[in-house]
Amino acid sequence: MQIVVSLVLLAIAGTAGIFIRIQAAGGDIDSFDALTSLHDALSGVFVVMPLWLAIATVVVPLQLGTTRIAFPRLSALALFGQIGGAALVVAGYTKTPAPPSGRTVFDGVPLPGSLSKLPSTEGADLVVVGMLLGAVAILLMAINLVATIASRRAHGLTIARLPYFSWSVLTAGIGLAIATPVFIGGLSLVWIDQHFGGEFFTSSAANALWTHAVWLGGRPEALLGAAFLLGAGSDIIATATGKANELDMVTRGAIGAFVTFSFLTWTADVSDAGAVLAPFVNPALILPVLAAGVVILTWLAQLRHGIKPVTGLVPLVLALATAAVGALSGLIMLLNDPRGAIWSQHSLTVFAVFVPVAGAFAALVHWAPKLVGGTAPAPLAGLASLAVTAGAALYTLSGALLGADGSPDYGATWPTADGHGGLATLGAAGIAAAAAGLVVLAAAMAAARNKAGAADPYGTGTTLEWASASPPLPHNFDSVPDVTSSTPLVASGAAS
Amino acid sequence: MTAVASLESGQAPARPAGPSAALVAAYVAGAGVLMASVALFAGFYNLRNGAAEWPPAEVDFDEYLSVMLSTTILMAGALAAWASNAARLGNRRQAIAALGLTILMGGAFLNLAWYTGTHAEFGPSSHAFGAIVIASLAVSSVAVFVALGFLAAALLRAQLRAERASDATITAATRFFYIVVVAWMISPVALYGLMSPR
Repeated sequence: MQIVVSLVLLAIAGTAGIFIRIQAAGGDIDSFDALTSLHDALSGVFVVMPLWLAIATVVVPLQLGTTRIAFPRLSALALFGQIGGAALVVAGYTKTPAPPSGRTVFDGVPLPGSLSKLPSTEGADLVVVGMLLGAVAILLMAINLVATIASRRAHGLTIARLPYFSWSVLTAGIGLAIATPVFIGGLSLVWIDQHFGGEFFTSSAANALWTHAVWLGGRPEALLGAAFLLGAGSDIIATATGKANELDMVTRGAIGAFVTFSFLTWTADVSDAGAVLAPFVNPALILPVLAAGVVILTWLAQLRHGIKPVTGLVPLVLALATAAVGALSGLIMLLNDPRGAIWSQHSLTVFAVFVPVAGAFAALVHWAPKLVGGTAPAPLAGLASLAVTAGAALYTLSGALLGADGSPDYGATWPTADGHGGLATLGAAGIAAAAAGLVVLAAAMAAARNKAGAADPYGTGTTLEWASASPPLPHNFDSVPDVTSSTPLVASGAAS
Repeated sequence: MTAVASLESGQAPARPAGPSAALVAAYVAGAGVLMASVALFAGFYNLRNGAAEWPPAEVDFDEYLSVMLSTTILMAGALAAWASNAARLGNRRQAIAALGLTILMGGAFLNLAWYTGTHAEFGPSSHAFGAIVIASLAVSSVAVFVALGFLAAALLRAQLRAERASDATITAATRFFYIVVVAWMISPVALYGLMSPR
């Protein structure tokens, strides 16, 4: 249910992004503030993390060989928090007058930095409380998953033997639990500002406090979404090879290092407002990139044993291609002058939204038998991911060409000369392509739903989720295999 | 494949004794509370560096209330330790009494924090120092409020389950409360540091 909610919210956020660019192509953007903030608020708080955490809520208990998550009611509470929070945010921007919190309106400080200057209106109240609910939902889900992994593992399944996805959920979940309360605390202060006459964030110094200390909490999250992708990707590769990973501890250590190093975003120069928009400009962030590279190298090392083309493999490769698009854009941007905030913004969005979403597509397709009962048709799954990658490429190209041409970031009035209007439309086409991918994914999952079948339809599953029925029983397992290694199904001879 | 555990709905597979889920959740949530306190004060030090005058000349900081707040929360922490030990020893009656007293003392802290905030000679809008004091009070109060909610839930479980003291839940709730106490203690220490001339 939460997966569906996250994908619907992704569609709404994408629609707002399309509207911004289509209107920009005409020169004026009606309700620019509301549209921009709605787009940023939804995609930043209600889509990426909830989507991955929702996938984990289904998959992790199966990988642990347990019957359920540690606190099922907490999961339900988080779902209602996400739905209620998103509804409040959307309602806030439908109020008249809408909260004028577009990111370019206030000194280039991005949302939610601009939240600190929201006037006290009904709409602003709804947005702040809505984002607060969304952040609390993320925190509850992260705590729930960490507690589940720590306390409900099958006999013999030590921390060192956790499946890679569960391992990434454990490490990134701890990261989220540390980072999110900072954001929640900041939103609470904004709310106090509006209701009790406080002015925590009105002076320029106090606004820097919000931008660099409070929003700080959210900055690692731009990278933590990729941590889930690394974990899920490692499990997809393990299923594709059907063998134990010879570099098991290297993969595990690199995923943990990636999460740890993601907090190096905090070492970005706090005197630079752009540090928030483009955290990857920080040289220290070479370290998480290196860690991710090590994980991918271990994947390549496993592939030499030969692979079976499991359904999630092509979407995984396309997710990596999406990341490569963002990395290439960021690299060229660093070497180019002028760069333009619009280029930085587009490059960051590829990493913060497109890559985690493309990775989530791969995970959804890979674990489709456990989510809906059967395997997703490979052509549809590949097409869905291809649409996201192509969309990311068009979106990046639009931002890069505009930035290289010295265009300002989108605003209520926007210069369309020199073909900039056409480039804005290209960005809209990119988001629309990704949205089309969402529709194709829905079709693939619907087709998978009618193909309920074997516990391990790939025949090469190595971890415990492939020992449960497809779709899983209400209590997940009738019996759990012996766990004496990180690939219990290989050890017990269940995998072919 | 060897079946080693037959499971019924709602049961976890057999596994070696380890931390309870509630205890792990308490530690993870506690880490978040600590992180929020530390991040806010790191930001506050940043503010202090950007202020023209520090501390503001008109601030006559009354240390009495901050000492009383710290004493109250430390006493509540001691009562929480009593509840935890009583639960561990299986003494349900004492555990319930200690939990009740902890909640009362926590309530006294919240009351005093509210008094401190509303009777301060400055507000969050007065100057950066005012923003720091009121924000630390607000964030700590929210954390204590949440911790009291956990303690109340543990008290209810202990009260309703007459046959045993719900050791794991009480232990988790009290451990989270300890972390909240530590998070609060960062506030006066940081404030004393902040009072020093820049």
